[in-house]
Amino acid sequence: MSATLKAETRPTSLAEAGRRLSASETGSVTELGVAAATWVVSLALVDPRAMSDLGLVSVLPWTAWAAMALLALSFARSLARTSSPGWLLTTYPVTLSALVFLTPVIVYGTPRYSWTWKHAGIVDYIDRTGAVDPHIDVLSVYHSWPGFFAANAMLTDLAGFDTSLRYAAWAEPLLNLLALTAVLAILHSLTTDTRTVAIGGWLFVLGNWVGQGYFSPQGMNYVWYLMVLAILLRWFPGPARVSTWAPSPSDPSASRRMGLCAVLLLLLVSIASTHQLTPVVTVLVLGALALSRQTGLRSLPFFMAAVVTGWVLYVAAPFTRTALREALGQVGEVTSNVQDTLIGYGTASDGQILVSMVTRAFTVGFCLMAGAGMLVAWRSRQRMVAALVLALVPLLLVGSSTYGNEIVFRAYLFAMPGLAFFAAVLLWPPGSAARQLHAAVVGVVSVFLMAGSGVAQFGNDRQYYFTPEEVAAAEFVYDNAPPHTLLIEGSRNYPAQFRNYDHFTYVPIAREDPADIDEILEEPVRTMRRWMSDDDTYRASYLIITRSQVAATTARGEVPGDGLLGVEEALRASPAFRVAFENRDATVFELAAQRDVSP
Amino acid sequence: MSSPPPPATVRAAVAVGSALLAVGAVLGDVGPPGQPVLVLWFVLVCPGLAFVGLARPTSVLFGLALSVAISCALAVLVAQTLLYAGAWNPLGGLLVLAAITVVGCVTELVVEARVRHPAVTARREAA
Repeated sequence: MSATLKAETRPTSLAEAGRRLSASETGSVTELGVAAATWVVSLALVDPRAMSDLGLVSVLPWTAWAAMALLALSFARSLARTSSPGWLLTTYPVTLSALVFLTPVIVYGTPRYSWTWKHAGIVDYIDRTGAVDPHIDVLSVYHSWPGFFAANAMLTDLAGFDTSLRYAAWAEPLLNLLALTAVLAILHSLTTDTRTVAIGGWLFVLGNWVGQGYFSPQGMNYVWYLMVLAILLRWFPGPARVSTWAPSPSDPSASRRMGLCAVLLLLLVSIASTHQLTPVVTVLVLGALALSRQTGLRSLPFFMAAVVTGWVLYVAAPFTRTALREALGQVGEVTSNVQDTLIGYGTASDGQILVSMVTRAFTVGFCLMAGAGMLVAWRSRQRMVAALVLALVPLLLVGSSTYGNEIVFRAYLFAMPGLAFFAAVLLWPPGSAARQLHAAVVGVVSVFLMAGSGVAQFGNDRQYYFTPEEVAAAEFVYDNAPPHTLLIEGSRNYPAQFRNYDHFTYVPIAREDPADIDEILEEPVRTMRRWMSDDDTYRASYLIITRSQVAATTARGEVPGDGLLGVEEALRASPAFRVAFENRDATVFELAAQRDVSP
Repeated sequence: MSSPPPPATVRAAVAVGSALLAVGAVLGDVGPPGQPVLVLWFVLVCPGLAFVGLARPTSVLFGLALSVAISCALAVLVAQTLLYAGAWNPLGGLLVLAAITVVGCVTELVVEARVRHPAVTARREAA
């Protein structure tokens, strides 16, 4: 009798449990689907050509903002429900990351950022020559840390592609998703509260506006850096890791420890051999974790330092010999390193000044949230030393170098996992009960952060986006010019150097001294004619001016007024020049008297 | 997110099968869409998939991400080695990655067997 009863009742109760589970989660999943679909459909209505100097946010329809608001609201609702499982909460930051970083792929159709195209040029060089040249004049640093480019050259060749640009745009959603996954693992090692973890991941996506997760060595190295930290903090905690928020220390088996150590060493060697900055911050953070006894693998920073030193002094010696003195001269110059990073308000356009101010306010606000979160942790008597190391040690980079005028952004990028954790602690201290008021605060703060993040992330996209017409003009030059060609560019900001890049000597007008720029603007025909007539040095000479060059130089005030358009107009009217190629977004000039050359 | 990763045998079958298909696609010059899809899938995911079980990640999502991270690191090291050795050969690189994948799968299966059946393994070793 009882067996019969069991047989009859068990399926019913299981089915009921399943129905209950579905009922509490179906609403959230539906909301996620509606928000995602609305976002994607809204993007189909966007005309990227219509962007103002506020970037992509200037052309987003209201439905796109509504989709993001719905996502934030749905996240808050899920946080408020006591029954929301961890997987559902984690799905929100994953969805947010996918939507944000798929946006350029959906809207633009061409890879954004001129550096994506330059990186494709190094891949092309290795694919063509099967070698690197550390003594090359242009982008020589990549020839001393060529791993990322060599791997892509191999991948491009094997896949049967003619260029890595065929898949480069997809690197942005992929690398950012990988980074988020690693950050979630780091957060899981700092707290067992799934809500704090999900909010931390959510804030990481919103706060990560720096835009380094693209087809670049930095994008790949950031993922490896985060993976190293995730493994270290999760499986190799040190004796000083004392916090009731953190999970109890795991004791992996010998084989598992060996496997994890092998993975760590592989990732560290990859970091050391493919990037210049990430190894430095990795040594600093690993050293601080070891010193503060937050990890049991205390020899790891020494291993990493040895590999980095070996690479810098031996493999990258040709580059290091010339660049080391300049780099050392910038150590300790904190103020000038910061100033070199930030845009000058005296010359930039009104829209770009607004974007810059919103970005600065957003970044300062995010850091203040993290600072307040540190106070919450301190008042809760939690010694979150590992998280403090993650948040604060990368900031030491600011005193080390200008790193191509980007050091503040990079320091912020590397500090993001720690900052996101403490900001999440502020919004949802680990162990807090699911309360509607708490969740509502997260929702409201998220809406403000989404607006700020949108401006910071996509506010420069009028110049970061390249039209197919610009690409066609660049292809004309890079496919047809012979080796030893002079290429004068309005600025470096266009789809540049992606093919046969070593065939050219590059002279971007925007990089000239202000006095020389004034001379060009006053007498464009005479100056350009003089520059392009050097037949002894160059086999051919071209001048290329594109839409994104004009947008960039105008936005940053690099060339006064619409200077590049003035140059274009003057050359068009001069019989000394001939239009070699043109379309609605780009013009390529050559001297009318230029001899006929073939590649 | 919290369900365990697929068992080692499934991962090994997927990784080795993908390696064979990718090598076949390149040797046969299959072209798009098959060749790029198979090559990208294999190079970016499978070598790491063969080794990720040794680390025993706590979730499928983290396991997949770690697989991609390891795969990219292996691709970088293999390509870089070929480059500096003056032996640039993408097909050779693919074959090396396929070999690494097989080694990883075998290692993981052996370790898995020892963990599941320690007594049997000890008896075999004693014999």
